[in-house]
Amino acid sequence: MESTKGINLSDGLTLQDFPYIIRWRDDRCTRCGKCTAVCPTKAIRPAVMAKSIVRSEGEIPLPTTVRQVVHVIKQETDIERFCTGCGTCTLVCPNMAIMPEYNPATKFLFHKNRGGVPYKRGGRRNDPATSTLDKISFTRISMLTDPALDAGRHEFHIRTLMGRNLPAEDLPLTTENGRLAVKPGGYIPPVRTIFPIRIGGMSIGALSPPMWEGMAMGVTYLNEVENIPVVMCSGEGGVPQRLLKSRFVKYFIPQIASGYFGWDEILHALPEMIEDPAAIEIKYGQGAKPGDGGLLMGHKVLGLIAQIRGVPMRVDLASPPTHQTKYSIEEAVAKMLQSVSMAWGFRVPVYPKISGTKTALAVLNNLARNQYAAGLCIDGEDGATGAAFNVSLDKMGHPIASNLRDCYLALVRQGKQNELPLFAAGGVGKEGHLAANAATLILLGASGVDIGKYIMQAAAGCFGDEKNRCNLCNIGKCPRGITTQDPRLYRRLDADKVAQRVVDIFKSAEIELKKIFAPMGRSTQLPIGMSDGLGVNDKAIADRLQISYVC
Amino acid sequence: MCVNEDKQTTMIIKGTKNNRRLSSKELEELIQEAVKAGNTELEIKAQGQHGIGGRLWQGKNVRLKVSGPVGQRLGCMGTAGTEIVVNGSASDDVGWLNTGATITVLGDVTNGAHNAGAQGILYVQGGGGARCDTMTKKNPRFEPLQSWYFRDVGDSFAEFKAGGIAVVCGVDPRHPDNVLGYRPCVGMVGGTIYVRGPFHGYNENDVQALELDDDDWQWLTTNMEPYLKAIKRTSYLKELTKDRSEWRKIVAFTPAEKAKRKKKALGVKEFRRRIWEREVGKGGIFGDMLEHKPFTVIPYIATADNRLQKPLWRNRFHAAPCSGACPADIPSEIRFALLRRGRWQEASEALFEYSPFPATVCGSVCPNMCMKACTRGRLDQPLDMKRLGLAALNATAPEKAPDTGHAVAVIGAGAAGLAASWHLALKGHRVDLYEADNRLGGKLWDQVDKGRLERDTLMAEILRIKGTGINILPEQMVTPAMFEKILAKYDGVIITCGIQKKDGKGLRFLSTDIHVVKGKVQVDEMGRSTNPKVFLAGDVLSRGLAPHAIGQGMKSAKALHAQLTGVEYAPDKRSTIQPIRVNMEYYQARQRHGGPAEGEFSAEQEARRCVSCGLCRDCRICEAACHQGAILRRDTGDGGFEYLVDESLCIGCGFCAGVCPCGIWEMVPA
Repeated sequence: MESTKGINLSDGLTLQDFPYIIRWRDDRCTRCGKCTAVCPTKAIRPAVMAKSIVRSEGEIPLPTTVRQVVHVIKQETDIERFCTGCGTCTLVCPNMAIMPEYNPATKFLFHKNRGGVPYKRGGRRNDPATSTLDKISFTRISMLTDPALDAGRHEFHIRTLMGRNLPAEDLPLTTENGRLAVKPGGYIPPVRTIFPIRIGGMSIGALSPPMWEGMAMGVTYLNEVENIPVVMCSGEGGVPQRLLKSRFVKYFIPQIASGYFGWDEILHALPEMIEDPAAIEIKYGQGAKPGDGGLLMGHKVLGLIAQIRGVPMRVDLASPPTHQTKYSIEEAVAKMLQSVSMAWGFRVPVYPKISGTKTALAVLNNLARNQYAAGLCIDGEDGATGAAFNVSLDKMGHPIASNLRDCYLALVRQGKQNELPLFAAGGVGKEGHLAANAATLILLGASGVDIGKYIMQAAAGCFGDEKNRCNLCNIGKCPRGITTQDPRLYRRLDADKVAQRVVDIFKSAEIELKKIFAPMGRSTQLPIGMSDGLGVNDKAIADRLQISYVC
Repeated sequence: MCVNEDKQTTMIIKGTKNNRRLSSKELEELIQEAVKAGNTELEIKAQGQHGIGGRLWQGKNVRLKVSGPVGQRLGCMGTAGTEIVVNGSASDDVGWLNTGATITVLGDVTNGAHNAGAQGILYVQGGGGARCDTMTKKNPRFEPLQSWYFRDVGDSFAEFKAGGIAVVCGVDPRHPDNVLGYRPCVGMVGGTIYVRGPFHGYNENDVQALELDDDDWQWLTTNMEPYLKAIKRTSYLKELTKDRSEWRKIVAFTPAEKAKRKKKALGVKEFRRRIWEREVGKGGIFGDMLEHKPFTVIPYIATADNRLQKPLWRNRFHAAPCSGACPADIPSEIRFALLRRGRWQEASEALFEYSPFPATVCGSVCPNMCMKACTRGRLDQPLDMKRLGLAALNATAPEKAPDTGHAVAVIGAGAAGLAASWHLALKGHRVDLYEADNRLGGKLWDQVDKGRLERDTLMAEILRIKGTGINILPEQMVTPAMFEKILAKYDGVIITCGIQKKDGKGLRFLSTDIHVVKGKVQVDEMGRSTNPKVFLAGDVLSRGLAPHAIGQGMKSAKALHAQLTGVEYAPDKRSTIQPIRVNMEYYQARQRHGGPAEGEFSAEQEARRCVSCGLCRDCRICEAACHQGAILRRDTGDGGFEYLVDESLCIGCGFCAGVCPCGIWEMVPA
C-alpha cells in the first residue's frame, strides 16, 4: 500500500482492460532503456518498485524483513497511453525480455472515447476471421482432361488489359487505300497491358517518402529489369515533379479525388511530361471507410507534403466524402471522365474507383454506357486506410467477393464482360495468400486486383493486423517509418530494401499465379470469370457467387 | 508356335494372322515365348503394335529386325543385349525407359524418343520429333545413355535431361536455322548434348553451350563410326569429323555455378544509381524536397537530434507541494535539504527570507496548507511543520545588509506590516513603522486566542523583528494630510492597516492618484498601487489568514526593494510538481513502532523524512541507472552542482526521469 495511498483509483483502469499486456521479464532485463526509448505511445516507462521480503531462517520463527527498491519497466494504465501491441520494444530488446501479448478480454472500445471523441486510427477492419476469398479454392485441376501446363516449364503471359477493350465489330475502323483507319469521329479507347496485380492508391503523405519511393522504385525495376508491367496508383497526394517528368511516369496511375491535392502541380508538369501515365484513377470512395472521405492528420502535413499537395503546414487535410461539384451519377461520371480524359488528349485510360457497396451496380451500368470509362475499380471492406474513425473501419463497407461477382455477372448479361475491366481491391492477401486471392477474384470476374496493406506488410514489415495491433498510421508515429512524416521515424525505413521486397513480391506472385493457372490450362489468356475453376466448402457462398459447392 | 531350334536362323513373327491384326498383347507374348525358347534372331513384321522388342530380360543378345508400321514405344524398357533395327521410321516414344537396348531406326523417330531413358543406344538415321531425350537419367553403375540424331530434333528437346549423351548431327536439317527446335533444355540438370549446326532459344538459366574439348572430340569421333555404320551413312564420316569447331556441346550448370550466376541480378542499389536516379535526378524523386540526405537510414535506437525525446535536469523548476501551497512561498524543501546537511544557519536564513514568524505563524496560527499538500503524507504522515516552526523560536535574525540610504514607511504594525518592515530592514532600508495603536502585532494580539498562540512566543518574535532596527512610531493615526507628508518624505510606502470597511472609509487618507474601484484599491500581484511608490498588503486588500498577511507583506517589501535598488523581483509563480513524479518507493513508511516516539521531535529526523519534491538530492541514482553512461554530475564551483547529459550518448529512454526520487528529470520532445 505504500505509494498508492491517497491516489483515487475509482476511475482507474486495470491492465486487463487494455488490448495488449506487456509481458516483461525482470530476470532478462538489463535496464538498457531501448524499449522505452522507442515505444510510440509511451505505454511503458521506467519506474521504481519497492519489495519487502520477510524471511525466517532459524529453528524458530524469527522474521527479518528485507526491503529492496528496484527499477522496472511498467505499463501505463492511462487510456491515452495504451499499448498498441506494435512490438517495437520486442524488436529492439537485446535480451528477449519484453513482448506485448494480445488480451482477448480487452475493454478498450468501452473507454477509448474520452472527451467525447470517438476512437480514430489507421489500419484495416479488426476482423481476424477468414475472408470469403480465403475460403475459396481452385478445384478444377486438369491432368488428363485439358492440356495440362507446367508452371515451371511453359511460357505464360500473366497480363491483363486496363482500358475499354472494344469488340472488333464495334471498332470504328474503315479501310483507306487498303490500310486500316479510324472513321471520322470514331474513338478507340486507350488500353494498357499490365500485370494483373497493381499497387493500389496510397498517397504521399499517408506514406513516408522512403515507403512511397521504395514502392515506386520497385515498380520501375519490375518494368525495366524484370519485364513485369506492374503499375502503381499514386493515391490522392500528388506526384513528385521529378517522377512526372520522367519516362517512368508511364508505370504510374495518378489519382484524383475529392480533395484534389497536388493536381495543380500535376497540370503544371503536364506540358513537360515525356510519357503518358498508365491511367488516371478517379477516387469516389475507399473500401476501408466508405462514405468517410479522406483524412490526412495535421501531424503528417509537414514541409514536403505541404509542398506536393499545395496546402499550409500542420493542418488537417480532409478529402470530403463527395466531390462538391457533382450532383448525380450521370453527371459525376460524365464530367470527371471527360475532363480528365481531355487533359491527356484522350490517350490515357480513366476509370473511377468506388468503395464496395450495394449500389455498385448502378455505377457500373452507368459506366457501361460511357465510352470514356476505362473500367471500374471496387474497393471492398477489408481494405485499409491511413486514418479513419474506428466505426467506419470496423462496421462499414461491403465484402469484395460478392460485389465484384455481381458486377461481373451484370456485365455478362450485357455482353460486355470482355469490354469493361473490373479491378477488385480490399483484403487481397489478407492472410498472406496474395496470388491465390488475386486469382480467385480474377476467376470471379476481375481483370485485376489492387493491393495496399499487403505491400506494406510484406515490403516494409508493417506491424498492423486484424487484432488492432499498432494501427498508429493516423498520428504519424508509425514505428516502422511507413506512415509518418517524422524523419526520425521514416529514416528507419530503407527505400532500397522496400524496392527489393516489392520486386520479390511481384516476382513470386507471378510464379504463384502460374502455379494456379497452369493446371487450368491457361497460359496466355487470363482466366477472367472462369468461375468453374473455383469451389467452396460453404453452400451459401457457393450459391451467392454461383460457383461450385465442394466438400 | 513356330519355334526354331536352330539359333542361327531367323525366326519370323508376324503381326497379323489370318488377316487379323494381332493385339499388342498377343504379339508381345509371341516374342517373349520365342526368346524364352532360345531364339536370338527375330524378324518382326509389325502391324502397329505397341512396345515391340522391350523387356527381353530372359534373353541374351537378342537381335530383332522390325519392319512394317511400327507402333508406339518401340523397345520400351529395353534391356542390355537387345538389339533392334527398324527398317523405316518409328512412332512415338522409341526407347522409352530404355535400360540397355541398342535401337537403330533407319528413318525418323517422332515425339518423345528416349523419354526417361537411362542406358542403351538410340541410332536415328533421320531426325527426331518433339520432346526427344527428355527426362533421361544418369546411373553411375552403367555406361551412359546415347541418343544419335542424324538430321535435327523437334521442339522442347532434352527437357529435364539428367544424364546421357545426345548427338544431333545437323545433316540436312528440316529447320536449318535451329537444329534443336523451340526452347530446348528447359530444366536440364545433367548429361551432354553434342550439336552441329545453328540453335537458339535454349534455356540459358539451366544450361550453357561450350566448345568441345579434346576428350569430347575423342569420344565423338570414336563413336561416330559405329553410329554411321549402323544407319548406313558411313560416307558422312569425314564430313562430320573433319572440323571440331562445327560442333558445340551443351551441358547443365552445376548447382554451384547456378548459385554464382544468381548474384548477377541487378541489385537495387545499382538500379537506383544507374537507372532510377539517372532518370529522376540525384537523390530520387524527393531529392529536391528533403531536408536530410536522401536514402540514408538511422537506427531505431538513436542519439542527439534523432532521439524522440530528451531528458532535462529541471532542479527547482517546479515548486514542491509545500512551498506551492504556502501563501508566503516558504521553501520548506530547501530548508530540509540544508538541515539534512547540518547547515543550520543557512536553513534559518532560508526561512527568514520569507517569514519573521516561524513560531507564531507556521508553529501556531497557520492551518499549515503545506502539511496538507505534503507528498510524504501519501506515504505515512506529512512533515511536522508546526513543530519545525516552533523549533525556530530561538533562531537569531540574519545579519542586516548595509544601509541603502533609502527611507520607507510602513503604515500598520500587524502581521503584514511587521513582515514588510522586517524584510525592508534586513535589506538595509531605514524603516519607519506607523501604528495607530500603542502595541505591535495587530490581530495576532487582539483576535487569536491564547490556546492557539502563546503570547510569549509572539513577543519573542516581535522582539526579533524590532531587533532589526525598525523605527516604531506608535499611536499615529494617519490622516490625508499626514499621508501627503509621508508620501513626500519617504522613497516608498507600504500600507498594511488592516480590515477596511466596504466603502473604503478606513483608507480615506489615500491620495487621489491611488485608484479605488468599488471600495477596492487597484493593485498588481505584488500589491503595488497605481502610485508605484505605494504598496498595500494584508487584510487591507482582502481578508485572509496570518500566512497570507505575512506573504503579502513579504512580496510588497521585496517588490519595493527591487524598485528602489533597480533589481528584478517576481514572486514565485512556478507550477507545483505533480506528486506522482516523486518516487515514494524509495522511502519506507514510518512503522507504528518505528521512528521517533509520539511527542518527540527532531528537526534532523524530520528533514530525513522529507522526500525533496522537485529539489535534487544529489543522490546520483540517475547517473547509476543510465545504461548509456550519458549523465554526468558536475560541480559548479560555488559549492553547487548540476547534472548534464551527453547528447551523443543519450538515447532518450527516460530512465533518469523514471527513477529519479525527486522528479527532477523531465522528458520533453527532442
